[in-house]
Amino acid sequence: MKITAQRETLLHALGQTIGVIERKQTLPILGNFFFSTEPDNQHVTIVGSDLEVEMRSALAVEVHEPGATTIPARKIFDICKALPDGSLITIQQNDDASKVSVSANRSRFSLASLPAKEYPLIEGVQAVNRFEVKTDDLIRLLQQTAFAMASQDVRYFLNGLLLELDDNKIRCVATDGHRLALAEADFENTKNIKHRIIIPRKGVIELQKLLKDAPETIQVKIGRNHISATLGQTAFTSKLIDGSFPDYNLVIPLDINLNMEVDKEQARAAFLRASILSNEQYKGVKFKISPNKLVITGHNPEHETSEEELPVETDIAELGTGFNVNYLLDAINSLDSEKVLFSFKDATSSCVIRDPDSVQCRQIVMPLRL
Amino acid sequence: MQNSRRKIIHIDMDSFYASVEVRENPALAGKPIAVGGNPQGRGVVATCSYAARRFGIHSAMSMARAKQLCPDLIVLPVNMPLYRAVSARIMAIFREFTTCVEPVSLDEAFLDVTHSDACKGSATRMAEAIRQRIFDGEQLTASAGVAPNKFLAKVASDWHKPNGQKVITPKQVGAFMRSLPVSKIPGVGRVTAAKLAKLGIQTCAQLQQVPLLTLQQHFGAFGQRLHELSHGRDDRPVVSHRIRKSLSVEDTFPTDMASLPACQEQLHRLYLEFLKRLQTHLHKHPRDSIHSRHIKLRFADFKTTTAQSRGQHIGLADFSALLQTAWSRSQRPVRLIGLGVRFAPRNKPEQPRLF
Repeated sequence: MKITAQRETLLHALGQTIGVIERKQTLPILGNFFFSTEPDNQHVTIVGSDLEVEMRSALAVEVHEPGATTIPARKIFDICKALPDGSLITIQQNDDASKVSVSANRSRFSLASLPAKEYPLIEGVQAVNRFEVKTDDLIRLLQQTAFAMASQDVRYFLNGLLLELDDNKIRCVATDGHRLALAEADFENTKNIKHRIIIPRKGVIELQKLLKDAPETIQVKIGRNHISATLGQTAFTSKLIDGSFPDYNLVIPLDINLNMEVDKEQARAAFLRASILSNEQYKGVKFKISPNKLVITGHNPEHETSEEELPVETDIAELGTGFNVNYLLDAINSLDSEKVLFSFKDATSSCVIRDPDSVQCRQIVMPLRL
Repeated sequence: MQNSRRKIIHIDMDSFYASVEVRENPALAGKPIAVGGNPQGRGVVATCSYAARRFGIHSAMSMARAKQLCPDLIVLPVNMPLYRAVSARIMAIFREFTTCVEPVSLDEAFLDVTHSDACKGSATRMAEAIRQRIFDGEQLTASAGVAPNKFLAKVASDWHKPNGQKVITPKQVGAFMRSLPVSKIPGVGRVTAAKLAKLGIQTCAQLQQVPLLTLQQHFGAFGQRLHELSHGRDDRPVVSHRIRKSLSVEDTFPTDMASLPACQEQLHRLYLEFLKRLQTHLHKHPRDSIHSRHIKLRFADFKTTTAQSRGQHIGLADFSALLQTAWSRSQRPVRLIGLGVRFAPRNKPEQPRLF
């Protein structure tokens, strides 16, 4: 294989794929990018993978000699970054199959290669369902839920995000067992697809990065064990978590008629200040709600205390409860309305936080027993 | 809050287990006796009578060694239920003088009598009265130390032992400390004493001259405490409701367990014993929740290792897995196995689950 690529185009493609490359690999070849020329002899596809998530990015290049190779990912990325703007970079698999040379201007590099045929590509995902989704919708859904995913929980299915298609809704749900984030968007479900899948944490995080410069809509394909999405020149494939996600309908409390509305920015600032003097591990703060007033108090093991008073609109006569303040901050940060509505059933049941004018995004937080 | 105005009494029973045994069998009076494990195996001396101490026997010494030092030593098995019953009655006497009693072990306690009106508020008289009450009720003697803090009270109770007491008034603290050898400081054992001796320090007067920074360099966090103690300062309160942070059982075997399966068999026996104790504890403290489990192994070469894992579940399998981990580190015959749990800190917030 021998190709010449324009530095900025190559750097962009490498940047799209480098995120999946782990710092420490289970297989040495997973530290490399897979490079392969396309049959049209005008493009090269770059693949990065950690066996769970695979990213592919295609770019236009000059193909001198078709073929495939693998190149140490972090090193080729750093080399491209360090070369001058506008450089033309030539990558060539040497006769000695164990070396790849990279050259541009007056710089030359010889890198160690591993055989391309040993690269573990995820091949031929058989589509069970295909659909198209608006990029902006997916960005919002992930942004409003992904933070609530567990990480390294023994209930492995919580270390991911539920994506659900149902009637005319597309929905994302994530939970770590203490709080749950749910967001949905209207969806033209012409094929009447009903599907629930769990995307692993890493897949979600990489997908979020890709969406930043994705075209207006993206094509999604769901297979038995994989999800893949095509975003222009980039394709994303992730394994799915095989497990049953908790039924979020059972978690969303009913008969919540104790309501309190607050200014989001004021609340955010007050929560942030209260968090400074709260217990580091549990981040507990106390809530005391009385007509038109919310008093937030925090204290830490050193017996230092804080008190914040917030004006609120509420019909609650009196309610005392407590929360992990970080959960509250996550919840209100996910909302883009000016006001936020807290709804309670009682002091010990879960609380729903949302935009007062919309139920598209609901944040459910379990109180702390303080 | 406390400083020189506090009045602390430290009461320490004289050779408690041995004295109880003598009381039960007066024929033993004045004879060298030791309570503890079997001298044929690896038993150690739990307590010994003053007659036995004259042979150089002390607690924690192996019983076999004690028997070498004094062939006529009378070895008695530990009768824990009896000692517990006696201890409970003694502790009850303390509580007649103050509610602020901190038991250290069955035979030792700190009393904060700062706010006690007994004996017209005289701590010295209270200590005398307590010792008299113990003697009248149990025919056992105790020693007492009276001082402005726990550290000094503990040093004082040892001063005129057995059956004596010493008072250190706030005014006497300065002079007392200057003459005190550093080896008398609780927590300064052979190793620290030797380290201090290397620095040319034998008395607290010398210790007082050492800059705090130097002490911290040599002794880490203990340096700060040494500095405080050298001036006779100790702010630790008497804590009447000590929270149990862990519960464990352990056993040294008469002969080493040569293999992992042999260890597992012993583990099973210890596990049942542990469960019994844990049940009793949880019955009294139903709110305690288990934070982690641990296994302790001491190998034939006296190297000790521990393995622990977080989790609430305490099946035999959990400990068995830890035993395997710990054992595989040395793969040598094992002389001691211990197992136990640590409890989660109390009064912490609790995050309930959504589902």
